[in-house]
Amino acid sequence: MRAAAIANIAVLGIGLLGTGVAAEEIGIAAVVKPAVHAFPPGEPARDLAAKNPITRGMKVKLEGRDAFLRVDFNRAFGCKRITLDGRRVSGVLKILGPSDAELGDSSRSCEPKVRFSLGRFFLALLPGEPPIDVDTPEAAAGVKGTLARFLVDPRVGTFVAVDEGVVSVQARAGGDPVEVEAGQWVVIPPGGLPTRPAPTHGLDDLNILGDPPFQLRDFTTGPPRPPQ
Amino acid sequence: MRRTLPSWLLFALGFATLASGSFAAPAPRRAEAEVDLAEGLDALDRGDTLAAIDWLERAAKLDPEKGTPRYRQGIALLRLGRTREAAVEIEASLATPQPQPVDDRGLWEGTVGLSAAEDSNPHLLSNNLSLPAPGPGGKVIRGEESDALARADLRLGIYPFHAGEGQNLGVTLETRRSFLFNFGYLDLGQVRGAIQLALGSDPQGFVEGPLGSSRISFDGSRFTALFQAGGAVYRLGNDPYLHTFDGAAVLGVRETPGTSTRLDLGYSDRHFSGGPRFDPQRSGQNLSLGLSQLFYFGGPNRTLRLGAAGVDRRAGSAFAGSSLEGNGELAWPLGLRLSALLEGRARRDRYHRPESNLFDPTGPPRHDTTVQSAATLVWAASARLRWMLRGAYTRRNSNVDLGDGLPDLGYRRTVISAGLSWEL
Repeated sequence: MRAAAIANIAVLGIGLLGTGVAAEEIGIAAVVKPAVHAFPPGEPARDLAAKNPITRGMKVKLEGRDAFLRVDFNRAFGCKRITLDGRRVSGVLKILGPSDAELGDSSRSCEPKVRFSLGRFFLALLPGEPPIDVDTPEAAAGVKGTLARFLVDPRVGTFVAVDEGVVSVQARAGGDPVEVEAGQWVVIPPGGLPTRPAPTHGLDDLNILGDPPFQLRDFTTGPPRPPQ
Repeated sequence: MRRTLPSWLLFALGFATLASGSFAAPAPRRAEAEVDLAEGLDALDRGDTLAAIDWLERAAKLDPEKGTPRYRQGIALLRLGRTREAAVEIEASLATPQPQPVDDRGLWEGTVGLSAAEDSNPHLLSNNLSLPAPGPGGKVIRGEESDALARADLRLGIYPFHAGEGQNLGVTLETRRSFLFNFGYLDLGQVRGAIQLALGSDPQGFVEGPLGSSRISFDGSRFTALFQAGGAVYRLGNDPYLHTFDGAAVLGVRETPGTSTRLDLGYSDRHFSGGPRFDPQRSGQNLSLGLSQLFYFGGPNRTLRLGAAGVDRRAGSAFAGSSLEGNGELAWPLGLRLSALLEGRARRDRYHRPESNLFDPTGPPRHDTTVQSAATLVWAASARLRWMLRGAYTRRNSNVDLGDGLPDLGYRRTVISAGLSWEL
């Protein structure tokens, strides 16, 4: 009897351990063109295919001008599993062209977080969903119920345009956080502070997702400043 | 003089302001629209067309400026056979400020390739056989003589209607030339041109046919079709060898997300050159039919294809015949940027006439059995550059021998090659 109880506890423990280390699916690669390299945490790197699951902490790397990845995040990404509207998708991330990103933080379950190291990103998040933290080399941004565009380029820095909702941007170089509201954009130059939010109308002509707005370098007034 | 606005104008302006507030279109909820579009596309992929229409309709209402939801809704309605409603939705999608984006990969695409190889048996002779080499000098070639070669390839595709929707019409030109170190008279040059029309879509964005590959829209439609017409010119050494006029059709049906069936039809009118080295009796028409089943294991680049093909060959009496072939191909990604391709085929050639028994016209007609296998390792060093290492083995057995004590027309051949290709 006692042996059976110990065996049951051992099995339960192993099961819980297994649950702890199992990769957590936070979404699905809905569209993959033509090839995306995936680096799942704790697993060998592989090429991502359409309908492959996206696990928390997976890094993705896109190469080539025509590369494209659309990720449909599920409710597990923000750990808000109850929904009344029938939607299984909580947000959509599109990545275009040569890009480098990490989707989720494998060490922190239930924390919706992405890291954009390079590339062009388009993030749509349902209103009411937990905010998503976006890390870039220049800034940490909090995205709330939002439609936002990001361009991360070592020459430009981080460009953020908000079409809906609010994005709070904190430059790594210091300073106060900047609230970027719908219809506004900011640029955080490499090592610098955010520009003042400016209206996006007129900027859309640059087609942020279509062509890298290298003209935006003109907006990075002055050389990068050291952290304050 | 002080000017004042008449009271009726103030009243009208106030009403207009109020009206603009009351009747203005509601602000689009684009984030929700994006999510509903994703739900709709997912439902469409799952085959739940009714749910897809519902989601796509919601997405279109949330963001009326975007054409994609209505376009996809039209595609879903087409699946249900509701063609009139589909036409209305697709037409409306084109009228939106942001119509469905066009899959535009530009006017042209091209690839150049270079490779080097070691060929154990370029003459395709039995190891025990020696024959006089073509040309003066009385040189003798032996079956076991190998040679090294280099090969250059160029492929160009031009798609004049690249910005359009739906079908892909293109012209492709392929040229390649091999250079053998010792047996220059076996240098094979080839130029092939083809006009291609591809219908439907494929997740990989291209479709293979007997006359080469063609661009096709990115997506995963249930039906795909490729029609090809063209011709090819071959030279062996410095001499004209063969020219062909070809036509082909490839029809594909994706029954489930994990399987698809492919039917290949081909016609080739072949004209061999005369002269001491080539036999014009080989000229004639080939009619071919192939059927393949593809299995997808979690993605379009992880596939197993099993197929069968038959060819009816009309030619001079010594060469008319037919062949049956079973073949298979396994494509498997091995890890980051590295993938493997394993191929195998077994073919049985049956010649119709006794004249095919070249050295004994009173003997039985010729029949050959050929087995081929190949393994290729591809490393995608970058989005444009690919390295390739390939080994191929061929074995042919034949019932025709060259006389008492001499070997038959069978041979063994191993080719090891390495090379690279660059997308222009």
